[in-house]
Amino acid sequence: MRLIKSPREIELMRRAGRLTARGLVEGRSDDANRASSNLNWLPRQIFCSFAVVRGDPVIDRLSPGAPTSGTRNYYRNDQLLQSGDLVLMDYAPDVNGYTSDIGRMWPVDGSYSPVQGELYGFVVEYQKILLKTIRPSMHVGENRFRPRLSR
Amino acid sequence: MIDSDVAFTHPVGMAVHDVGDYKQGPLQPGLVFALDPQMWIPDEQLYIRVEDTVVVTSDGRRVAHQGMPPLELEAIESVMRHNA
Repeated sequence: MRLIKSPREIELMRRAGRLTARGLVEGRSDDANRASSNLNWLPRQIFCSFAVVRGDPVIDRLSPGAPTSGTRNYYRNDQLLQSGDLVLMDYAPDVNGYTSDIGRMWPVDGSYSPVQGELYGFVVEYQKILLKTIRPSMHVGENRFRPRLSR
Repeated sequence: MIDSDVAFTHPVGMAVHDVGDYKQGPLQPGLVFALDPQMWIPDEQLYIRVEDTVVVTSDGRRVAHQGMPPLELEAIESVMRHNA
């Protein structure tokens, strides 16, 4: 468990990443478009965790067993999807002992609502800014790794 | 203005939330970590997150799973339409 990975380790993690990406796309099956289906269509072999996120009063921190009250990683896998839901698919399969962590949020209806789309787009732009910032010798504790965004 | 006191990152390796502290020192090539900005919007009753695994290289960084899965809103909606 070294902090700095060798090329061989990185290659294993890239393979894990490709599997993760496939799982995220293939896991989004037809059933994901249907409200009131459950989440058992997720490919189990690469399943790590997911969350259903929707309109409940408190969107805050992890709340085990209460997936509609802000659970970020929901493991029970028995929550029915509803129109308007976003599903957070957070995958991290292992390949020869190494993993890769990818998360995306799918709209159950097939498209984001205007508010969902605006906020999702905002987070994506933030992610892209963070990615551009990363370089050797920088400190992630630096303020520039927490860019302020104006809107 | 939106600001955060949280550095949206954690190490990735043999565990999805791996051991190791890289936040006190300079990033080095070969370091792998997840980048997962998150947003809570209580007024809209929403929580939004995306997450990618990133490798620090000698000249910058590389997403470990370049090009997949789609990240942009339009690309995700296209995948949804394609598979519907």
